[in-house]
Amino acid sequence: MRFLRLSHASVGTDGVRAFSPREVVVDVTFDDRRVWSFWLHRDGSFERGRWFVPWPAPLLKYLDGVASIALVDSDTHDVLHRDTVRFGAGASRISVTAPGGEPLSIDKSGKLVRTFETRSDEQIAPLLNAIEEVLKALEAAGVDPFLAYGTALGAVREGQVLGHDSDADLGYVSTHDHPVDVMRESFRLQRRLTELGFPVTRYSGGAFKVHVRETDGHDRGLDVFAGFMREGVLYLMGEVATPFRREWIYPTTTAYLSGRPFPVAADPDRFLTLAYGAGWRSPDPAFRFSTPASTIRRFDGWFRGMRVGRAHWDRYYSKPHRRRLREPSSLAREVIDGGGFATYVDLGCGRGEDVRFVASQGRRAVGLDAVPRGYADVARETAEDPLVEFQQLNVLETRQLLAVSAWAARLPGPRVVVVRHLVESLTARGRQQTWRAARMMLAGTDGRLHVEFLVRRGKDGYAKDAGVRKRRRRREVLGELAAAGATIESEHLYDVSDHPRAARVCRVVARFDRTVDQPVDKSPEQEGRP
Amino acid sequence: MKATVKKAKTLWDRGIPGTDSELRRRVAALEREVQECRALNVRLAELTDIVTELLLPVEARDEETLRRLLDKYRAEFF
Repeated sequence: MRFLRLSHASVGTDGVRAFSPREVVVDVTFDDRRVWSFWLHRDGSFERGRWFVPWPAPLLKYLDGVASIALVDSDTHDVLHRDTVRFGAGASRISVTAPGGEPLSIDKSGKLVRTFETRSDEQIAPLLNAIEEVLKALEAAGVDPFLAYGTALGAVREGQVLGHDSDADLGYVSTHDHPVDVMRESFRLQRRLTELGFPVTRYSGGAFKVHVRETDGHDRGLDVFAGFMREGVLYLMGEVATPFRREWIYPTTTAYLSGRPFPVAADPDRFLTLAYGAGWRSPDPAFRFSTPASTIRRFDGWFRGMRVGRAHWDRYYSKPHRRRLREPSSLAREVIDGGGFATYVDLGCGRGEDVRFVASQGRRAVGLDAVPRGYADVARETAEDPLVEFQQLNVLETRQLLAVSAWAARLPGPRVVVVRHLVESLTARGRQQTWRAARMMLAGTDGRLHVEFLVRRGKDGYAKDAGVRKRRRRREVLGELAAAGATIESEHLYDVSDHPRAARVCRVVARFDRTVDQPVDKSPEQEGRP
Repeated sequence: MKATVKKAKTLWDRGIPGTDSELRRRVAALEREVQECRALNVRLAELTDIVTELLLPVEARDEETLRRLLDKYRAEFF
């Protein structure tokens, strides 16, 4: 790589152009701070004798003003090219920073995040403390953890966390060899960490994230990946399914992060080669896993499927205007006016306006949603209100579904369950699980299930404001409800505005008959039949 | 002629027994079915987890313990 040089390089408002006969990893610095890295050939397109790499989309909104931009060889740190570029009409220096002033850069998955490179040792210390604590907790829970992926790479190669990394990775290889047992163990580990006070969110049956708060209040993720050996193959969640030997992992050896000892795989060279290929010794901030399709399919089948659509909603609620509270819905008002209930359960409560409104009318209200970020503001505001409770519920996680529904079923009755603009975003399985939850929550009460969904998106802006991207066919939803054992009491369609192409909504009121779940007495003529 | 071509194409799409296209179709179907089977792993693990965590107190009809366990189990999902 040392001999590789860029030629014909230029930095423009649309991206970077350069030529090199061989692949080269380039760091792009703005006023001498790395903001982005790319592989010239892999990420570029060949146009008129040069490779062109466009600016990554998350960076675009920052590109207004002037910056001294350098293209730096990621391996040798030689500056290959420098240009002062003016973007847009702005005259000030471009600053790629968060609103609080924290520097941001593009990470390996193309997201604009706070990486470690601008962190002082003092700021990194809480993360290292957290790694130590989580390692200890995992050990106490009966597994033998070690640093994995980027964190292992940083420790083994550089003795510190990688500057361009933004999270920390831990792994362990279970003594079990079947995915079911590996997942059960992972659930147990999650419970143990929760007991110790770490908030945990799950990626899949084999991987979860432990949230750690840094000194400046930043929420940093620590990923814990399950691994297991089966018939001579090591499976390590996220990316690895390769013939491997247990003794290349255990007993673990020691590597150092900022001078502090941590366990890494017994044969770090083989382990890092497994994850990053034989070139792991050369830094590559633009590295991307090229996981074989068969591995992805296997992990998808065995472990995944519980976070469908989650990334979209996390992004959705990351925008402040999407968290701005709206008026309570007309459905909530209608349910209040109808009366006859003690507890209002909003399944898919979003920001939680309806929950707050119902509680303000003196009723007990529960808000359930897969994305806590959505309702975080209202939950904080109503934390002292005994009538309000928010709870995360991801209907794709059966454990959550059963536990939360069983809990809700014990709240004072009669209960009503409201499912508003939720079914549009859910997969068929998600909807089936939603009806299952509603049925459990309504068990033993005469309360009703109220469902509202879009049957026509229209052009009046309603769908966009409600965050609904799809419509759902009326017949499809009614059919699913009937299949789930619901009796439809009423359903009607209405336009939400006077707009000539107004969005159209379907409202359904249903009940679950108490008798459905009870064993049916066999009539005499049924007796004796197979 | 047109009808014959159409018929031949339909047969081809369906996969003529013993041809590559039939094998491809069957492999795709098998892959889908394998994924369906794999998906049972996570369901089974989740059910086993909740049953082992919550079943015993239910069996003992110990209302107070059950309530406490439900709260604890639920606390995992914040």
